[in-house]
Amino acid sequence: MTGVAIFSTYPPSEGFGGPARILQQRIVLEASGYAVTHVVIQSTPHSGIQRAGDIVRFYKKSKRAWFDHVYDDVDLGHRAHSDSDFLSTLLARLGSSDVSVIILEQPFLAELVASVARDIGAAVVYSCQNIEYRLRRDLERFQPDWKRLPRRFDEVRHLEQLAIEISAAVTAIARTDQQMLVDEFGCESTLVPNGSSLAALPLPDSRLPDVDFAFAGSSYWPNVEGFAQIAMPSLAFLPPKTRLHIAGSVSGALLDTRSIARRHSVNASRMVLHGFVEASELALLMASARAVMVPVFVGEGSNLKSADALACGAPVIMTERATRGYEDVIAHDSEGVTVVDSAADFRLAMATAIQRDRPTTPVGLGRRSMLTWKSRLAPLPDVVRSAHARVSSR
Amino acid sequence: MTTTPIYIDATMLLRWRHLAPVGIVRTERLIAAHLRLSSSLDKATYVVWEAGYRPATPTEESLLDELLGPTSDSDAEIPDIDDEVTPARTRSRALPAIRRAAFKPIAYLPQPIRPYAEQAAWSTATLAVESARQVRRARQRRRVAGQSSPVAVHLVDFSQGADLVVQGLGWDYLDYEAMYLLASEHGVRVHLGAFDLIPVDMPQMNFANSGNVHRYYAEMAHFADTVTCNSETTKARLRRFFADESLLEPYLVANTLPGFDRPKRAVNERVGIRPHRHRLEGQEYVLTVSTVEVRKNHLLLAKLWAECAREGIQLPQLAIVGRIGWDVNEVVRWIDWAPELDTAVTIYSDVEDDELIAMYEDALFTVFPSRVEGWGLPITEALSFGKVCIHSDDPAQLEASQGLMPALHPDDFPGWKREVARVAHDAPYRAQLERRIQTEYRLRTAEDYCATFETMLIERRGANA
Repeated sequence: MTGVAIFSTYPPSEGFGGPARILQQRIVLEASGYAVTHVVIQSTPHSGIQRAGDIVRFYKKSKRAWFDHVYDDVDLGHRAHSDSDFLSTLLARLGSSDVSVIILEQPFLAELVASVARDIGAAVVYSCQNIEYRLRRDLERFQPDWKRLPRRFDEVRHLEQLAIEISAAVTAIARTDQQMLVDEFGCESTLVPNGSSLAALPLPDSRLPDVDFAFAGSSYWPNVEGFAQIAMPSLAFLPPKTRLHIAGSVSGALLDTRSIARRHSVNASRMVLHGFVEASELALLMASARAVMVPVFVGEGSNLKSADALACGAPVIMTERATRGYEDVIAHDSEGVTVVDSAADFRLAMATAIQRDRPTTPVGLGRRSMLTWKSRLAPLPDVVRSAHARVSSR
Repeated sequence: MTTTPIYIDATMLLRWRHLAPVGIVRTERLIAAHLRLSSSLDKATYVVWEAGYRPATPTEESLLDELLGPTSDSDAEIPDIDDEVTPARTRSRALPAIRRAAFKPIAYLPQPIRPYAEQAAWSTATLAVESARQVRRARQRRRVAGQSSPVAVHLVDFSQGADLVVQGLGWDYLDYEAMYLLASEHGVRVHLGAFDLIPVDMPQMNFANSGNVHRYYAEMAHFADTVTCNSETTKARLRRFFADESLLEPYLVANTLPGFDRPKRAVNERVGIRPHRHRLEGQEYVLTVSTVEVRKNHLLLAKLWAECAREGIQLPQLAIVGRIGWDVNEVVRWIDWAPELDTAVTIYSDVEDDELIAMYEDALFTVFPSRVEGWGLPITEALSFGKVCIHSDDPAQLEASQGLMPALHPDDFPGWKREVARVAHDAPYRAQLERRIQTEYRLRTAEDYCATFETMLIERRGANA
């Protein structure tokens, strides 16, 4: 059985974003006959879903990382790469697991992966989720700090370049990202888009009565910023009885957002904050909504929020940005999907949705079946196989 | 005579009945007094907000009669209040009693820690009374609905197309979901008031209340049939606010406020209160009337009077009439401690309307350096007594004075000093300004104000019909 190691700076989990993606990669690869080991280099104490064979190295977050979010990831990569004890342990463990393919999630561990792959003779697949250095630079405006060094973004670009150079194959999660990889690095890639865990769950039998809108997301800045744009100057454009149910760690972050806190009285009257909820509860929340919101105006890559929204059986209001990675899904079945370009249009779409009757039956069942992780990650085993074959033939 | 029921929300009238009314409450009283005597409308019914609207109890009706003057069909004899304990009555007695009990032991504490203990006692007493009130409200809901419910329950049977007049400080108590249902499902026409959007525009002046006031103005778009603005300035600002918030505006009317005039006295005479002279009788003084709060800019006056005293410029004493509000530590410190202001500047917080009328009549002139206003009622009041008012140059104040009075930027200290000294010392100049008031100022009476309101009500009935 061919061994595959997935290198990441976060553990696999059923939550949002990257952690969910690597968990699903593992499931799909194992279903295809690969033995998967997670190698997690992290500075936060989240344990995620780990198994006995997984390798986890925890480095205490450096002081600088508290104000320099880019530094944390870059620093993790440097520390792991220069940690000779860890490196020798890693080589021993991966060697004994017969790992012949390494999937590198994000570019930050590229130096470490380059060393390991060379030593054990493994093929590398770079799983690109963004043009990372551009994204980080764009995000800088959310929490500007003069203490961060502009060269940090150059370092990230260097790591991305390295990740591409050491890889036998590169995957991207959206067509727009594929084009950017060509433009920026001259790199061809295979499309392996994101899916939704909700697509595999049965649709809820009942609905919650007072859910007008649902929004689920992590505290990732573009989520917070996107919602804040909708709530500017306030949510008063919605009638007083309207309830926006918000799930995920974005809930707490929204309360700290100045533009939302400034009009707290109106905004809080319409927001119901749930924090983290289980997948079944999230599915019920979303399916009960008049519309699920995906208000993402900035950032790159492909949002899992979009996949969940499109798969939940309720109408969706989303930005053009949020449709990226799911163009094929929406082209196949656009029932109940409203795509807008601006925050003003988003507000208008919400105001229109609140006037309409609630849908009595699930919508978008056609696209739902396309959004299971199994079908979205279907190209991955082939990518791994060909990468492995390429290295074996050398 | 129409047959459309009309309800007056008397919640704030009752809560404020023991207090010297601020401008908003003053005009609310005018409207309430007028509507209940109006011959072209049905007899108005008082309702009180408490976990939903309920009819005013007989005792509350009597208290309102005492406050506003009796209606034509009932020269109400005020019943013995102890015979009936209404929620409003319970509140008004409980809070002072608990506070007194909480404050008593504080007198035995060392002086340095007393202010902190007083603050804690005040908060604790308020918390205790407020908690009891919430419990009572919850019980009321359960009693009426048979189960605990978060939805407001009205004990008033509002009929379709009824008018509900809410002209007071609605942001302090209204339940907007309930009001929305009242308008959208019961077809009640809700008539609200708009006074200023200062807490929205300048939360730094009134931070604690800005969220509530913002919500009041934002929510009104969903259920108000009409919004009566106290000035063209407020109306224009409210219109911009609705546009910014992507809200459809209700029917907006600018009904500028009247000053003190005959109707107020007539109301007093109806209940046998005679105007009497004031505490500064026989003295020369400059008057400024407003709640003492940071926005009203009393600090400029304190500094001005102090500097003039130091420089030997004789000014009449300054009488500040108004409740003590918020963020005024500095101005109070100036007035309490500046040696030059020892007898030159005094705050009077307990002046009733009748005494205030007399103070206006005898004042040399008035000043009003407020930074920003929705209308500037003290200017109107001063001009209605033919008194000069030096005021700030913000749009609402210019509208209130009709551009006839000296207007200066609220931070133009030299300008204020010059103008105050001139009006105080240059009698011909002051007389010239007073003549201008007599000849050019268009006085708006309380009758005008109430008639505009009543006409609007009748027009809206026609429009909705």
